[in-house]
Formats: sequence, C-alpha cells, structure tokens
Amino acid sequence: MSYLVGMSTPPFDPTRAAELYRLFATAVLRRLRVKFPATDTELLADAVVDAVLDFSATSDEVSESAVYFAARYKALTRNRTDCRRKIRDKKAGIIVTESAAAATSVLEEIAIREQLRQREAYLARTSVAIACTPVERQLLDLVLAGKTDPAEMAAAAGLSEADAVRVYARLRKRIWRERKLAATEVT
Amino acid sequence: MIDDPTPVPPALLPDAALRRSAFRLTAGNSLFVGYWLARLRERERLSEDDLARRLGVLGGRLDELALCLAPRADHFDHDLHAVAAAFAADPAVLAALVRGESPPAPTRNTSKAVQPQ
Repeated sequence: MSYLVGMSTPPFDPTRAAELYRLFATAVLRRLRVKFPATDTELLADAVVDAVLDFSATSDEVSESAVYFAARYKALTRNRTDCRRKIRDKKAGIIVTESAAAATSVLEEIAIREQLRQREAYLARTSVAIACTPVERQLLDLVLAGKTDPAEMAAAAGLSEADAVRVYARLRKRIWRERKLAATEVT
Repeated sequence: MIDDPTPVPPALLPDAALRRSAFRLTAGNSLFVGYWLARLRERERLSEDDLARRLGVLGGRLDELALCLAPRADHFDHDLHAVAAAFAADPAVLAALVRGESPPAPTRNTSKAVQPQ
C-alpha cells in the first residue's frame, strides 16, 4: 500500500517527522527485517528513523517505498560501518565491559542464536524436501559447498556426467520451488 | 515458517526498537523535542510513563512527540500550537519543556489544552 504525504505541507511543519513516522515506520521496519533477517533490529530501526528525519526536512511528497529505499540504503551503510568497527575492535582485542553495551550484546547473542537455530531447522526441513534419494543428498551437499561442476559431481556420486547433469537440474528445480514457498510464507 | 513457542519479550518487538531509536536519535539535537524530553527525564529521573503523565500526552505517542521539531524562536507561538494541537497537549506545558523548565501540571480538561485537528 502506498500513502502519499506532503503535497500541501507548508515549508516548516514541526510535526512532519512524527506524521511520517506514524504512517511508515512500522511497515518499513517490517520490510527491512525481511530483507535483512540477520541484522540487529536496533540498527534497522535507527535506519528507518534516520530516513524519516531526512524526509521530514523536505516538503516533497513521500511514499512508503521512498522511505523504504532510503532506510535500506542507510541500513546497508550502518551495517557495513558496524562490521568494520567489530573487525577493528576484534583486531585491537577490545573487550566490552560497559554495562549497557554488555546487556545489549547478551540480547544480540540470544537473537543471533535463535536465528541460527531457525536457519538450521529450516535447512534440515528443506533438505529433506529437495533431496529424496542418497545420490540426490550427496549432490545437494556438493551444491551447498559451492561445487556445481558436472564432472566433479559425477565423480563424487559415481554417476555418468549426463546423469549428474539431470540430477542437478532436478535439484535446482526443487530448490527454486522451496525458495518460492519460503517467500510466500514470509509475505 | 517455524513454530516457536517462546513468546518474544516486549523489549525485543520491532515497535519497541523504533521507539528507542526515536528517542536515541533525537536526544542529542536540541532542534528536536526529543532532546528536551531526554533532558527532563534525566533531570527529574522519570520513567516513560511518568514523563507522559507529566506532559499530559498519551504514553504511546511520546516517540512521535520526540521527533517533532522544537518551536523556532521567531515563530514560537505558531510552532508551539502546531505541536500541541497534534498531540492534544497543553501549550504551557510544552513551552516549559522546550525552555528547559520543569513543566507545570497539564491542564487537559481545561480550555488551555489544544484539541487535535
């Protein structure tokens, strides 16, 4: 759904940010969480609010999509900065001892563990649906390891190259179907 | 996708994260009402609910109030009334807030409170 705001907004409206926030923030954050499931929600929320504040400074018309794309860009930038900082801190051997930050990291760790558990369960469930026979499972393991060369697959599974190509095509079709199913479940 | 019987704590819900962001991103900039809200909270050690009661604003809308721009000095009354009207708040209470003073008790039931548009 797309809302349009701001066509008749005066140049200075002190409540414009609040209005944009009320209209779009929750929906945009929900979309960002689907797009970046492994990213910290706080970081995504910061990106959304930051985008809303940016738009509030202009009198242009604003739609949910515009806020989403601005927030997505900010989330990517913040994520990259965050990753670089973590790598830098790790290299420097910095240990976080400040209480508030420590509390956040515990919550983050719980959230990450939960996401990992869900991802593992999802992979286990979908692997069964994708690979039905031992040969298919063997080839799926190779595909997941990034090995998609038919000759390599044929050698590993003891098949002819033509058979390996046929099984690989079947697997790809099932992977595509599972992805489509997962996307439907998310939306 | 996968059933999870563990309920998500309210503090981890997305809306709670948005609220925290709204307060966090405006607390450092005196152009936003959020800065004055943060100062008042810190000075008088108020919880979010106490703060909402003190200002006569619905607690669920404090994050929206934080994102509002503080009134400009040369259009103080006009801007103040715009914010007060949007939140059905007492302009006198908001004026005290953005001047860094302790706000008086809100007068929501008197004619001073601006009705929402």
